[in-house]
Amino acid sequence: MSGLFGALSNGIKALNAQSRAIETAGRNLANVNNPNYARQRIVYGDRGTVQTPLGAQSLGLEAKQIEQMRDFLLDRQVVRENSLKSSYETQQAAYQKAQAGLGQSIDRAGETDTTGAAGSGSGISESLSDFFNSFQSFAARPTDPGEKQTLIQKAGVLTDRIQITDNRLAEVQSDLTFQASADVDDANRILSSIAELNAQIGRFEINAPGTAVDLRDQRQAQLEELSKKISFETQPDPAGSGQINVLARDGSGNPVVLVNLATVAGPLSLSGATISGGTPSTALNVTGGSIKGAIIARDTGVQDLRDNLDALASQLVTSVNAAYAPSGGTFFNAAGVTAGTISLATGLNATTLKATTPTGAAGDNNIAKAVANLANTSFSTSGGDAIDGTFSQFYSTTVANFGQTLSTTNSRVTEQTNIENLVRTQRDGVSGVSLDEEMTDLMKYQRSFQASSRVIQVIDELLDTIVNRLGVG
Amino acid sequence: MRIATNTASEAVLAQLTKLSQRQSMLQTQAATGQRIFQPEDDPAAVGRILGLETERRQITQFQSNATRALEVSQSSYAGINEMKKISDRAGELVTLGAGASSPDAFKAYAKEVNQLIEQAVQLGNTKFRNDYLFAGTAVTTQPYDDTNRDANGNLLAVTYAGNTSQGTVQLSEYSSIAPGTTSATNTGMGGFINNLIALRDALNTGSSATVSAAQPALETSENLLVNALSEHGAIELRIEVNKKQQETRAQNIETLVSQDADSDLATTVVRLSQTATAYEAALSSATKILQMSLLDYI
Repeated sequence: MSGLFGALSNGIKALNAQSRAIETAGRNLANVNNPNYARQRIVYGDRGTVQTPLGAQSLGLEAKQIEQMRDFLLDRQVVRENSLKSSYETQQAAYQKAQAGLGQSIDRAGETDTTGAAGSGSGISESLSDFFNSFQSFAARPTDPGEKQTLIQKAGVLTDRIQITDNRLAEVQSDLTFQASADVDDANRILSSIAELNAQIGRFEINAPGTAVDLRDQRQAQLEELSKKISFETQPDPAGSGQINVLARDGSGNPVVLVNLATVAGPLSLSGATISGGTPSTALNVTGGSIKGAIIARDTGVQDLRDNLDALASQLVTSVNAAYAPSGGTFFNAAGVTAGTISLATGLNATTLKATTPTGAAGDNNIAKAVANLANTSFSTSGGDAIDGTFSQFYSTTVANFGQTLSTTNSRVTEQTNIENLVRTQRDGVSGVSLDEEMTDLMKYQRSFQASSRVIQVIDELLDTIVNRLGVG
Repeated sequence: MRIATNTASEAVLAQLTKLSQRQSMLQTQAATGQRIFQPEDDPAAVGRILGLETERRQITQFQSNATRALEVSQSSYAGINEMKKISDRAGELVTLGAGASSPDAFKAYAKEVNQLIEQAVQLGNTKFRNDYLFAGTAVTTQPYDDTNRDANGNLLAVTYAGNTSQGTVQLSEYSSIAPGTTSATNTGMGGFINNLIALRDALNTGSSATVSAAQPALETSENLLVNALSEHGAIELRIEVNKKQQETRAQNIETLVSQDADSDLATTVVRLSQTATAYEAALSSATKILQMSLLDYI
């Protein structure tokens, strides 16, 4: 349509288009602090062209589509890095709990003299040396009832500390199992939500691909939420309108579909250390996410610590009992050879405690000395012992190794957080809302709106001239 | 690169968190003088510190053992020394007895020797912290039996009822010491008492020749006591040297622990000051950047 009415019509269309753009800028501004939101832009276009005597002419401007500024690759990368970060963070939290459970800290303020006599450590290391030193002291004063009483108490403290530490570590493991199970439930809920959003996106975009922008934002948010629980891949489904499939991999690297368009293809399940999913249920090779992190922490770091405590307890019971045997009794309960069961022999007390053989004199101390000297005895697993090195060396190495595990995890968390931040920054560079940019756009659209209004005003004046003034007196 | 509004605030937050963590860590280090607290802070150092602390506690125990050994040795020395004084007096009495002429003088000397015998038996049965000091390791058995007496209550003979073992005390991982008296000393002391009894009996006979005949045995006993005294002198010296060594070792360990565990105050304070300045700068610049936008100008 050409002529004044045609121009008027085009002006109105332009006003509509600018209004849409202002609306979009307003929506972008409203979501400036929404991390899941990807900024939107209006795509302008002609309504069409018609052939006129003057040539092909436009039917006017229109807002054809709201486009979402998303980089699919960056979105995928965020999901991937998020998954790894979540795994490391879960391990870090678990190891920190285990470290607290171990209770082996350095407190120099507690030492009141340079000999360390009043060192206030509360870990197994201190109890171990107190135990052997008590035997040493007992050997020096074999008839002193006070020494006997102290030794029995120190031995009790040692077994209690080993047991309590093991119990605390066992609790950390059971908490991790519980957390992993809860995370599996969460992951299944999120998978259902993704499938549901897929269905809605499919319905909305069947005729207009890429237009269900808010739903896509929600789905991306859900994918990022899922990535905190488990590592996975996403693939756009060529058959679905804007829909995606969620996949994991099995041990051989074959894909296992978790969400197929609008359907959850078999929920996730956890059995021991195995995460399964898909139909038929297949064991997945999961590399990230909190579920995997909890399993790694439970079955490696914390379990290694417990295994070492078991070895320490076993060696302690075996060696001390062997050295104490000539007295005609046992010191530790021979059946309790794990960290969780180590205890003093039934009936052992300050009265029944012996420093020598039944035929020895009251001042003899050969057995007490033999036990005391176990503190400096070096054991070897290659020689059939449960530990390597002395008790103190083995325990120090255990603590140092565990500390190294936690320290490495701390570094990984820091590195992974940096990587994740970098990727997020890159993605925000594409999808994030900039206040300045939106304000500039707002001004731009406002001016365009005003200009189009002016065109309408001019046409109105021209029409006024034609309608009211032509032919008038 | 395009910077979204959120990116700026996220970056500021991340920087502030990092600086805040660092500031808190340095403040704790400055306040406690300690560089590491948990195994995660420096695993290898914590491993080393635990080993060193164990060694230090063991040294403390060895020092306590040494104190105990010194007490036993000093008490033994004191006992033997008293016995030696008795021996000295007995030697004088032998000389006096050998030169005595009146029966009353012999009797008077004999009475004094009898007193010395009782005193020697009492000394031989000395207890230290409820243990008999000269009984070997049979510390609950009275070593010198004083029940064999005549109708007048005079001791006729003593027998050594202790054993021949010697209690040892560990002074270090590889060395022990027997701070008490040797079996030879213990039995020798019994012999000395019996020699005193022989002297008393000789004095009671009123014969100078018999008295003189008792002298060689007493001299042998005295030699034994003198040997025991010098032996204990050597033991005490060895214990003192050992205590000194252990003390030096403990000090060396403290230095090693300090190198690993303690923070260098000067470095820590300078770093804390740097971090505090950076934190302040971050806060100040963040306030300026975050509150400013195009909105303020249109």
